Amino acid sequence: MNPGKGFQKVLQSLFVLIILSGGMTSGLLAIEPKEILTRSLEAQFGLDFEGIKEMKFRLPGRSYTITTSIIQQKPDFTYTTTSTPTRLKRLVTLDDGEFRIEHIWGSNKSEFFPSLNSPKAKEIKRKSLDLIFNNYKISRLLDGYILARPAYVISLIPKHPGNPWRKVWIDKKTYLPLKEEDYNRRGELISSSFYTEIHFDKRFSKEKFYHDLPQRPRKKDFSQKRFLSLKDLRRKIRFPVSSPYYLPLGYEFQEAVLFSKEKAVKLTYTNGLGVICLFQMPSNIKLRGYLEGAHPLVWKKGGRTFLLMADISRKELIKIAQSVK
Amino acid sequence: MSCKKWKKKLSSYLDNEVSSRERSKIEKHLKSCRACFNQFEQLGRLHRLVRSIPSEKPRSGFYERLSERLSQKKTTLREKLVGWRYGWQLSFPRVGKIAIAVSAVLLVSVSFYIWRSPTSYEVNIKVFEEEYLRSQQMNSFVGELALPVFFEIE
Repeated sequence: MNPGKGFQKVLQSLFVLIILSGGMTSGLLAIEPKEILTRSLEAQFGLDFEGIKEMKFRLPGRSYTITTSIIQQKPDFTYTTTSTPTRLKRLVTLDDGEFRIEHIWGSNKSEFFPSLNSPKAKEIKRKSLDLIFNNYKISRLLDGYILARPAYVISLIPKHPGNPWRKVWIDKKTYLPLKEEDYNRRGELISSSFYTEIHFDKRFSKEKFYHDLPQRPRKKDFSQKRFLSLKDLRRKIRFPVSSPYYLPLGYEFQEAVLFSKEKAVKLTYTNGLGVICLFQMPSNIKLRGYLEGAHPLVWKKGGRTFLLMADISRKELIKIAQSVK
Repeated sequence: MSCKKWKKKLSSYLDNEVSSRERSKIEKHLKSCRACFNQFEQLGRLHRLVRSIPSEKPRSGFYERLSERLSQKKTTLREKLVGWRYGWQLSFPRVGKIAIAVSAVLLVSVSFYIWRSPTSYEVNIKVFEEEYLRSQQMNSFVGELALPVFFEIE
């Protein structure tokens, strides 16, 4: 036997073994796309950063590119200001975990809403992520780079056709979503947003942000009641509330909201990404104006006006409307 | 027996309303207790003063008039209500009564309807589009709202 040949065989076997074990290890260490999304959701409340985001929205006949500066302070503080384009009024929002204040720069008025960073809002967001896991095929695509930072690219494709899609770029180091692309049910890109600048671990004194606002909210200033169950809602309003008996596959009740001086009701259903909103109000409330983007279904029944809005087919919208009782 | 109890009996003693046995006991106590004796003296003076006032006689026929008024019955609430009902029956004709009842029912119904129905008012349909966007933001992976598109400078 040739000792040289034997040594060569040993080397070959060792090489195969190393390749195999490496592949297995990387397979074991490879992070699941669901886990990436879960970590990404938590990262939205667990980071300190300052960044500039560019958002593009496409509406029939026109498109908007809005630049927004965002300051996030963990665990529940967000401050955003829109800066361009000049044809839009500058919107300032401050969310401190209890209130969400929306203010048009230069005006004396602010609108107050319940926080989207509150424990209740976080719970709803976690539930919607569970719905995404149930209703979407989550795939990890080839990794990409945003602002020279390596990012996981995750695509969310609906298991049931006729629903919106999403593609998200998640920072590998911090798990913050750095870029998102939204597609409608026909697969057309309707909006995208991405950071053009980001600086992590920046701490700010929250107090200074309140100086940009004309007033601080008090509990009685709330213009909207959120996170209600159907039972709570029915107890609070004077007219009977109807709900749909038919919903497209995967959709579940998310929340009930009282708005417009508690004269109108919104019931929201979601499949995790897509949203169906059923509005209802007494028919003596008149609607004025027109809509650019959405094409709602409007009808009157039993002394009430109903309005149904969702990014689903017209056929499905009519089916839901017919089941409202 | 304590002085407090003896003092209570002094008035009855002065009015001769105690037994002979009790009388001797009181007298014995008054001899031994200065405080009770002083009280007795004061009461005695008051007693004598009252006796010295000449008594007035009521006018003739006073007792007769009093007994007559006492014998008159008091009117009860039930009797008053029956009386009012009788009065209502007498004072309004049947048609008038129906008209009053119908008016009352109508008044209550209209008030209830007004209370139940909110006054007519207008809502810009864009509010619903805003609300739709707000609902989208409740989902896990929706970034900032497209709200600024509603605030175009005119």
